[in-house]
Amino acid sequence: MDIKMIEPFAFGFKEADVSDVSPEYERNYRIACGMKRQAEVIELSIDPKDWFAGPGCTYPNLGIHYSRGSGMFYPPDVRDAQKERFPELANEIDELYAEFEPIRTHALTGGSFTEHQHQLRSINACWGEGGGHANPDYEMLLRIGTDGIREKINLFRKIHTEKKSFYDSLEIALSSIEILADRYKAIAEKMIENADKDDKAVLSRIISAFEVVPRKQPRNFFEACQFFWLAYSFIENDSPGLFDYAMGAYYENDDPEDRYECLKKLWHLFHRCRAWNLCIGRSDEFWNDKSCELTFDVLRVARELHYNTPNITMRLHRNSPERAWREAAQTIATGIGMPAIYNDECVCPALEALGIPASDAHLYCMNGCNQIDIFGKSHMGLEDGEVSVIKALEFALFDGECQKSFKKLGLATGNAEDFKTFDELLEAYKAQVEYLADNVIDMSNKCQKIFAEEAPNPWHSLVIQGCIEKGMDYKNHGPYYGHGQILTEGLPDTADSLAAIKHYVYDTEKYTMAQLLEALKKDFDGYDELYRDFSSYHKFGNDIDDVDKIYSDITDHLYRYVRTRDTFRGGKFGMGCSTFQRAARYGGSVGALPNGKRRDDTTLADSIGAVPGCDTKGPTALLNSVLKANQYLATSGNVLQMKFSKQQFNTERGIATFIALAKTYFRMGGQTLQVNVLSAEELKEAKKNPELYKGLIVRVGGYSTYFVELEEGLQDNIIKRTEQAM
Amino acid sequence: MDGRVFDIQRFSIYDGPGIRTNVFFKGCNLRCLWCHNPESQSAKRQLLFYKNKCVGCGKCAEICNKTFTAECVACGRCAKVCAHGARKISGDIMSADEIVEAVLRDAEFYKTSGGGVTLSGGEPLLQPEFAAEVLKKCKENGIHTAIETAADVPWTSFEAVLPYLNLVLCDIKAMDEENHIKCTGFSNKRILENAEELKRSVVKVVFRTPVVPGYNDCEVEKIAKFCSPCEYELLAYHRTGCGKYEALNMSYALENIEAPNREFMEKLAEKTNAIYNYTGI
Repeated sequence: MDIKMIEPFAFGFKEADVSDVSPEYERNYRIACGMKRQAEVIELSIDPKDWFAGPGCTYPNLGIHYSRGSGMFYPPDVRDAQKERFPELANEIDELYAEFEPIRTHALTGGSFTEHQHQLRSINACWGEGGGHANPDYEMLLRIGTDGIREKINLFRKIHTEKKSFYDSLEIALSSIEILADRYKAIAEKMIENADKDDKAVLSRIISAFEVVPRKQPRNFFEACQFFWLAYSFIENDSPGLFDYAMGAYYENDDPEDRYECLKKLWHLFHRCRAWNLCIGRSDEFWNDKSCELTFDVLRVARELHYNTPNITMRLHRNSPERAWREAAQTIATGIGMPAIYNDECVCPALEALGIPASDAHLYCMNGCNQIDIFGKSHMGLEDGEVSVIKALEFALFDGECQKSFKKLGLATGNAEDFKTFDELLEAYKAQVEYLADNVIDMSNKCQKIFAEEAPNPWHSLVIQGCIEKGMDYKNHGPYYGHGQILTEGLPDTADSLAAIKHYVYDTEKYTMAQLLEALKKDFDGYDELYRDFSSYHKFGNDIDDVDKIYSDITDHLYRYVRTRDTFRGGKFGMGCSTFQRAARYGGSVGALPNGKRRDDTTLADSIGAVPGCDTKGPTALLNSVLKANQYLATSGNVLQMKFSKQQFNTERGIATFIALAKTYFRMGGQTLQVNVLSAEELKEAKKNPELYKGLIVRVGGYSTYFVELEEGLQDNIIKRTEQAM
Repeated sequence: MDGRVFDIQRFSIYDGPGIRTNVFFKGCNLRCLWCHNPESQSAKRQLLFYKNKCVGCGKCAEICNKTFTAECVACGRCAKVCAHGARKISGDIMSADEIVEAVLRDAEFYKTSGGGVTLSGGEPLLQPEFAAEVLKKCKENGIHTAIETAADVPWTSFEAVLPYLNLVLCDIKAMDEENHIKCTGFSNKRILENAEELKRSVVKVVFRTPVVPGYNDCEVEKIAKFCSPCEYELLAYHRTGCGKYEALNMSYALENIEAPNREFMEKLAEKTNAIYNYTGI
């Protein structure tokens, strides 16, 4: 075996002829050559049962390769597997990896952080990164084909003559997907000779599809699916994006039975390779509803197949037909935790406030979990970093000292016992938050710069608008919009803590700050009364104004602060709040908190919802609490999760009431609602007998997953989340 | 004006249309065997003690030596120190303004869903002036108003509230007087007279019967006939209130009655041309 066959990208990269390439674009050119070699050499096969040919989930088998999320990427487990398979190549493989190690993107980004930033990261105070998700413009790609893209390159080549090498590298990347398609066509032609009747029918469809795609526009939905699947899994699968926008036109006029079968087959493939976020339904800039047959058939296929992926996002707005609300609710009622519903009325104005024109703001879709992207036009939909506000609170109370590691890593804001008023404490807290946010922004921008210089992406530069037009790489200011998204968590926990401090230390003066700090240090041991008072004080999520006001204040502060800061990519940073599966990690990284959280308790509020078990006044009270903070400031997902019991969701009145509840939330300015339908009993049973509940799906932050596969702490957390009575 | 209520339940969806806030008045003049809100019966403030939640820490006894004795006046000091939720006080005095403020918090949800406020209980018409004031203030704020009553009150009590109501939900538990006495402790004479009056009033009326197998299920057809031409709704007896009997140190007469199942209720509703909404319980 030749090592060049098992590490095609690396050798395409190494052996690229760069004699004519301007040094500025050498890396772009080499990466494109690596992609091309990969397309030429990678092992391909077709399973006619899949209906569509494409590399699918091949990336786990690639050694050194270009990854959309990690840049220049070398998975050690693949290296070891290859060494085991080809022991005679072990030395060569090791040498190759060693040769590439200095340009591994993650090694470079990690190396750019200060020691202090590494430590902040290690105590889960904050982190910042580059990389992330992308949303290629599949609508454009399918409409104009690679022929059209080539025309586009040639047009702008003439304008930016000094960027010849940039456009050369794009053409190489473009030819790679054509090479791949031609190879698949040849395989199908060979297979068809000995295939049985059913396989023959599929293979002949694949062959005839590849006579047209990817060079030209598909003629029917089968060809559209074939094109989509090939392009989607070409480098590394990600989010399908605005699926009904890209594919709806091909669906509209096709045979109803055949097109639905195609959709189902594609859905199996999406599920198999864990597709990220697929978005349906939308409004245009005049608020016309743009849902189509495909919108509703996506929901139908989700109900029928009951898969946990892809994550479905459904956009709703003032002109959404009643059918859209109803089918969304019925799909949620099946218990798959999807679709997540998003409110165009909140998201679009928030994006417009960033300077994005309405026509593009209405093309938003979700990427990954809850990150907002402009479909095919932006480099926004990734997590640039995360700020832990409960850590900021801990820093403010203990003069910058972490209560788990006892390292002094925060800002020195002074001894909390000296704060004369609640406002002084609040100022210290805000200073700590800004300090952490500054670090996130610094880390993220360093990473973005390294990605731009060391890991440009010629494939995404072809399929995301702005790059060809400007002659700039996707990672380096190419896309039209380059805003950033930072996440936070623990806002409700912080609000509860601050409200209790305000009441007991400053307003009623029942306890001194010294007593509180001592109690926190001792994990409330010997402070029964203090614990009772603090843990039972007003909690966010019950429509109680004093604590909700603090919640709204601290949300406003962080969101507005971050908005003033620039990204390397040429936009502004924005905020969102979604904890995903990380709540327990962050909750476990702080000591005891004034809201009654004990030192070893890992409980943390789920995104912008109440702390588990603390909302006792029902869903309307929770929504009212949440709505007191301005959600128009959120330009990333501001997730509110609600859990309903399945039994009650199954009544006609239950569904109608849920729709009314969601509509009210959206009308009042809520951004998104993500709903689980299940019973607490069901969950307890599932925890006890995981083998009987393999298919039970819950929504964890941004995505749906199988409950029995979660770690125990997270399972308990989900069980504890107040079951909203309907 | 002040009144005594024992609960304000937001997001109620089975007592009137849409998303509603139910205000439960304390005090009732019937003693239905199946009552699922036993704390609604007495008009006084009461202490509920949940034995299964008590860990025996003794904090309650430390603060008051009258707890568990006949002298307990339900002052609530013990409930305040109980960290385990084993002690709860039922029956706060609230002003009409306080109630209206709580009701208005969900006004936006009423708008979308066609919901509003429902005064329930207990028997809200045992506090007719207070009920009227709450309803009047809600009406002034554009809120849809409903009342849930067992109707064993002087007609003048109805007259006090009818001008401010959109909907009356009136219980008819049995037609046969003897059976009514057996089930509720009192005659249904005044109830049926009021029901006849209600049928003639301009306010929308829905008559309702909680169906309790072995007690009044055989009377449903007769009641349906009586209620015609007004709307008639069947409610399924359920056992969710059992735990509260124990907490109040009261005995529960229907220990051995099973809740009727969905098919039974749906068939009965079809036979009597009644409304039945399966609540999932």
